[in-house]
Parts: sequence; C-alpha cells; structure tokens
Amino acid sequence: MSGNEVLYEQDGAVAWLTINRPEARNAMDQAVRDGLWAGFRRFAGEAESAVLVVTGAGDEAFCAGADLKEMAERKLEVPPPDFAPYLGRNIEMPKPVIAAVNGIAFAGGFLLAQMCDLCIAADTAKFGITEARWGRGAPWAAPLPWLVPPRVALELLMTADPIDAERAREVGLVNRVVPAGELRSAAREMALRIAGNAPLSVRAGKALVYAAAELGWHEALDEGDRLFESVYKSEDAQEGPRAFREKRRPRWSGR
Amino acid sequence: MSRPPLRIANCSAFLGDRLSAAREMLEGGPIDFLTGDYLAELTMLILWKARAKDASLGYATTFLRQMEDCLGLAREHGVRIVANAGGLNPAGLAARLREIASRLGIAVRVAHVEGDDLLHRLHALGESGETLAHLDTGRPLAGSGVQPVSANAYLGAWGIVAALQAGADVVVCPRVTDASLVVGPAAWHFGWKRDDWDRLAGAVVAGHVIECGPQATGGNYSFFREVPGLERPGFPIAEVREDGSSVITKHPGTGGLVSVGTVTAQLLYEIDGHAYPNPDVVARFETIELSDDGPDRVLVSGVRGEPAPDRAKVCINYVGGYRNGATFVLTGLDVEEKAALVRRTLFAAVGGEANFDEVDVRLVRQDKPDAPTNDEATALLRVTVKDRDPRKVGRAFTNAAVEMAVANYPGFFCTSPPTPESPFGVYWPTLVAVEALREEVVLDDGRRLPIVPTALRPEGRASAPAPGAAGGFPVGTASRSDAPCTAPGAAKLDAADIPGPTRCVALGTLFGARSGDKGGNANVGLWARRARDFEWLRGFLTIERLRELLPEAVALEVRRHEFPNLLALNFVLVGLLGEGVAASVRSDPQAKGLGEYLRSRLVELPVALLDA
Repeated sequence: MSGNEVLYEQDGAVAWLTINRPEARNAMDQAVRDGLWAGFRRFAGEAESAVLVVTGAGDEAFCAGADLKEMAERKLEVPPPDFAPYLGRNIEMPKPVIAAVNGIAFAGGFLLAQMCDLCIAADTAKFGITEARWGRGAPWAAPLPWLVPPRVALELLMTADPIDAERAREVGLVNRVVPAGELRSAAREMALRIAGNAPLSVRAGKALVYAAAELGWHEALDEGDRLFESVYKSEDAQEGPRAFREKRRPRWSGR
Repeated sequence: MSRPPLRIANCSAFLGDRLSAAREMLEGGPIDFLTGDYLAELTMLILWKARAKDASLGYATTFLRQMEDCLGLAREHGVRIVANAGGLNPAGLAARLREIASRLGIAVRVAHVEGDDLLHRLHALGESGETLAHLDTGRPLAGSGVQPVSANAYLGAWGIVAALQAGADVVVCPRVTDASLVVGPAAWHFGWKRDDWDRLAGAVVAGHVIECGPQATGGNYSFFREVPGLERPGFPIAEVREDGSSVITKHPGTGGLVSVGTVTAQLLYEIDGHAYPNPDVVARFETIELSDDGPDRVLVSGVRGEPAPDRAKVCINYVGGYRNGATFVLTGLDVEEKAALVRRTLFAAVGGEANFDEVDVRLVRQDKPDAPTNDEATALLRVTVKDRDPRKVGRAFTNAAVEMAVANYPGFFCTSPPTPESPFGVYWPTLVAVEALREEVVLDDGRRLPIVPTALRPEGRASAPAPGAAGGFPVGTASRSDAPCTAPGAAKLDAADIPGPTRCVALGTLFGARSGDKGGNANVGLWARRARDFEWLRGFLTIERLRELLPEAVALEVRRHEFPNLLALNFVLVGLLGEGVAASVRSDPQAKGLGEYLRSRLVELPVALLDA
C-alpha cells in the first residue's frame, strides 16, 4: 500500500474501492493494480463487508484502461496471468461486487466493469474495447458473448468504438443508468438492498449464474441443487420464515 | 448443574485512577478476582521516561501503593489479583510486591509474565522479514528514521492461566490486552480450552466492558442526568459464567448506574469494526446481545468468536521531538487582526515558521460581541511549535513570547507562564507474526513456563483463519469463508422514510455517543435507545453527513460500521489526531469530547420520533 492511487472505504456492510487518479483518467498503472489487488483481498477477508462497489474518482473516467505510457516504457508483450486482478479467474470472490461506472470505461476499464457481477452507470458513461486501435489484445473479453449478444461483442471488439450508457443497458451490459449526480447514492442503495438479503442465498445465487455459464442444462440444474443444499440447511433458512411469522426483520448469521 | 459465575472486579482504568478503588472493591461485596488496567498507549511512554531516570522503575507505582494497602485484605478474602501494572518492568514490580508481602507478613505467591518487550529484537525482526509497517499508513519502520524507545507486543490470557494453575495469588502482567485480565481468570477457573472460541470471545467482551472502570457504570455517559450518585460511581464487576456469557454489575450501595445504555456506550469505546481481535480469539461485536437482568445488572450473551490471529499487535513508541506552546488571550475588538499581529511578531523573532519541524496556530473564537462579562469577550490564540532540536522550542521560543508583553497587541496576556520544552512521544502501531513472541511466566520460585501462542498450536492451526487481509490491516478482519456475514437489513436510505414534519434539534436529543482515541485515529460511537430511532439514524448518518457535522473530518478517511444488535453506529476518523495523543496539537488530543460535540450539532429530526 504505497499511496492513495486506490482508496478503500468501509461504510457499514458496503465497501467502496475507488480508483483515485482522476488526473490520469484513472488509468491502471502498477500502483492502481496493486491497490486493486489489496482492496479485493481486503474485502474478501472482511466479514463485516457484504457488498463491494468499484468506482472511479472524478466525473470523467471510471478507468481509461492500462497506462499506455507505462506500457510503452515496459515494452510488455503477453501480460502474465496475475498482471491485474480478474474476479473469478485469478482471485476468488464469493461475495457480490458492483461496478459504479462514473465515466469512460475503456479497455482494462471495460474489463473491470465486465468482471463485476452488476453494473450501474452514470448517463455520461461510455464503454469501449479500444485495444484494436493500439494494437493491443483483449483476450479477457472471452465471456462477453455470454453477457451481451454475440453481434454486439463482435462490434465492440472489431470497431473499437465505444457505446454509451443507454445502449450498454439495452444490450444487457449495464443493469441501470442514472443521472451522473445520483450514481453514488443509487449504487449504495443497490448494495444495501443486496446486503439486507440472506448472505448464503446471495452467494449461492451468484455461484449458480457463473456455474450455468460453464455447464449444460441438466448439469447446471444439478449444480444448483448442490449449491443450494447448504443454504436450505443453514440457520438462516430457519431464521427467514421465523422472522416473517414474527413480523420482524430477519437477523442473518451467515451460518 | 452449571457452576456459579466467577466474579471479576476492576479497580483501575488507567494509571492515575482512583487509588481507593481497590479497597472499595474488596470491602464492597464478595468478589473472586481483582483486576486493573494501568497501560494506555501513552502510559508506555510515561513509564519509559520513569525507567530512564531510575532503572528499577518502569511499572505502575500507584498499583504498588494499592497493594501496600490491600494485599492483606485480598488474601483474607481469598481474592486473587491480576493487573497489567508491570508495564516495562514486570519483574521489578513482582520483586517489590514480594518485599511488601514479607514486610507485612502476608503469605502470597506472586508470578509475573514477560516476553512482550520487543525493543531489542526489532532489528533482528526486520532482518527476518518483518516490515513493522505502520498499521494506518502502511509505512515500513526501516528507513523511516524512527528510533523506538519502547516496543511491546500485546500478549493474551494464556500466560495468566498458566500462572494461576501454578498457584499464583497475584499475577503481574506487562503489556497484555486489557480484556486478557478477565479472560485469563475465567479460562483458568472454568478450564476453557484454547479453541473455546465463543466462550473466550464472551470473556473478551466482558473484559472490554469493565477495563475502563466507571466508564461502564455511568461515568463519561451522554445521559448522565439519569445517573444517580455520579459524584462517586462504583467500579464494575463482570460475573462471568461457564458458557462465556456474563452479567455486568457493581457493588450494592455504590454510585453510578449499570444499564443497557451504559454498557452499550462502553462497548463502542475504542473499537474499529465488527471484528475485535485479541491474541487468543477474535470477538465478533455484531453478535453481542445485551439485556436487562434487574437493577444495575446487564446480561451480555450470544457472543461469537473466531480463531486466534496469527499476527500480534505491537505498540511502538518513539520520541518525535520536542514541543512547546503558548496561548495568547485576545480580548474584545479586532480579534483576527490581533491574532495576525501575534503570529507575525512571534515568528519573526524566532527565525520564521519554516525554522520549525511543525507549527500549529489555532484561533479559538469563543468570544461574543458586546459580551456581558470580560471572560466572554476573550478569544484564544493557541500556538504550538515542534522541533527535533530542543533549543529551538525552549527558551528561544518562550523568551520571544514574553518579550511581546508590553510591545504588541492591546490587552496582551497569556493563559499560563512560559514553560520549558518537553519531549513528545509518537505511537507507531504495527503487527508481527506470533512466531516472534517469546512469552514466559516466571513463578516465585524462579521457574519459567513458556507460553505458545494459540495460532501455533494444533487447535489454532486446525481452524486457522485465512491469511491476514491486505494493507497491513488488523488480522482479525480476516476470516473463514463461512464466517458470519452480517447483514444490516434493508437499510433505510433517507430521513424522509419517516413521514411527517421534522424539527431542528440537537442530534443528542435522541442519541448517545462515546468517543476516544486509538493512536492517531479518533473513534465515535452513536447509539439509539429505541429500534425506530436507530433505523432513522442508520439512514440519516452517512459518511457524507458525518463529514458535514464534523468538518474536521472532511479530508480524512472515515470508516463506518453498523451494529444493529446494539442499535449503534461506529465511525473511525483516520488520522484526526495526527500522530497520536502525545503528539497531537488538538486541544482535545484524545477526542474525548468529540462525541459530545457531535451530539450538540443541530439536525432535522422527525417529529414522529421526538414526540413518540
């Protein structure tokens, strides 16, 4: 943890991870990558935090991608597997993560938004896989045709042209678009909504969707049964209906 | 079937607390253990100064005076004593206690714990790969230029247990955690095992509640108007049960109050989040349940614990330099101009502000226009200077201030005569792997018993937590993937959720607060007395709103924690106190009044709550 390139803020059940290089359009250099690694790990290990929101400082950029100046200096060829954190691939993340995209999300910034479970965007946000313009690669975009229609994925990868927030919502890349000034409170609201639900059910729901992406129809259903068995057997599965009967809010134990 | 509870009393919250408390606790009613906390972060520095003058000192001498008075009485009542009064010299204190006992003809077995002192091993630890990075800033110790004068790991309760097992009547501890003073006796008495996590965590909570003495019995309490006998509140007692639950109470007939409110207030003191790491267990504060158990009795139950951390907290202190200050009283008209004149004149005479490592000038505008009394027409200009060179902030500084007396602004006077410079300490909290600890219990026959940290034993390893969270964060925040994940419920987002009109009143009308320091961080807890009020507070008091109410926090990292079980919110203001109490230039360097300040701020409160 060298400096303030990435801020970690704990707000009750919601943790915030903010890329804080607005002067460099929140581009991802070594310090930002280190900060993201540290932040994701801290969130994963912090029982008190139920949901993470990833965002960028300022109103221009969420993250403009890799720092091309750094790229030029390092003459990087194929990035190593642990070059930057990739949720679910090189870092395990059972708890939900929301991207709150406050501006441009290009290249590595697009990846950051793509790899979160949910995405809420300011109406001024733009999403682009701009690698083709600079001769770089976007192998990380492999799950994209699962997230958006294949023709949209092809368009993004081949034209390298950004799409705006509204189109991103239409094609399914974004869950919600809000006026830029309301992004933070809308993201907080969404995070609190999730944090109020039974944590084991939420985690199993997340795992189910990713499992379904890898499996066929029957196997996915079988995997769902397996994932939710421990949920049905948990203390919280008794607590929920009991709280309903007693007309009070459930108190989840996560057990 | 279950055994009767173990009655553990506290008789000291800090070095300098009420001397007669030990006798009061022994005479006021039946107890099994008498404990006392004597060591704050700042105290380690005070003890270092004492030992620097006289190598036989370095412990809490007030405890010695209490024992001269009460050791015989304690033996008569069969009460054992456990205190961390040993400070930097537990062996020295144990030897003095034995002298006193033999002089007074009291048969008593004194044991002490050692192994917390890492000062002379810091270099070796650095070479073995420990960065000793500052917990809040992440800065490594090596290369920081810091020369520590004390470095003490926080030890746990198992040394105390071993001493009691070996027959000790008095256990003198060095820097053990405050809660260990309660965990040790309880774990020994009930024969708890190393991995009785929930029981140990229950005792940690009981220890946290009583370690600050009367702060659990109505002292320093927002609703003090409801507390009887606050002129002399009783010290607290924890009746710890075999299952780790406890009842907090006090002796009959003493002043003060033990209520869910007073215990809640103390629980919110000096915490940072749901996880409360101790060397032997991580207590989960979001699982604590409090309930009324009769007059002046509060039941603490439901506490869950997680395995002991594999890293130990270490309190390092170093001398940051020398400081001095002067407070100029500015009366009546043209206050701003008078302040500017003082600043110009003073610093021109001492080589300019840049000549010092640090300068802090604060104008406190407590003056009123056309004031009805002379006092109310005064503002204070507080000037603080710090430097590594004592001469710069010594006579050179005070002479310059004194020479302004009849030569400067009209109505010149200062609040106090000039003082010599004084060294100030800086607190550097860090972590080391528990492998680095060499804890030993020394019995009165000279035998030494080594104590192995739980994380290194099979019970600790079997359920070892995930590796510590990144960023040098306290290890206690790491947890197993199936760890309880608290949900705050579908939180209300806005005050507008409670319909109807609002009224502009002080936040403290409905909410209590407690604040304090932990190194350079300030901590403020706020709690509600009714569930509905808490729901409003939770929606209303976001980090942004807290920054509006406490403008000092605008540029600081703020951590916000929710405790629905206690109807409470807790905020940590990172770095508010600079480098810690001894170095802070704030008029309230320990943020003791911050909670009361927050309560005094005006907010729009729903009439539906105010009139309910």
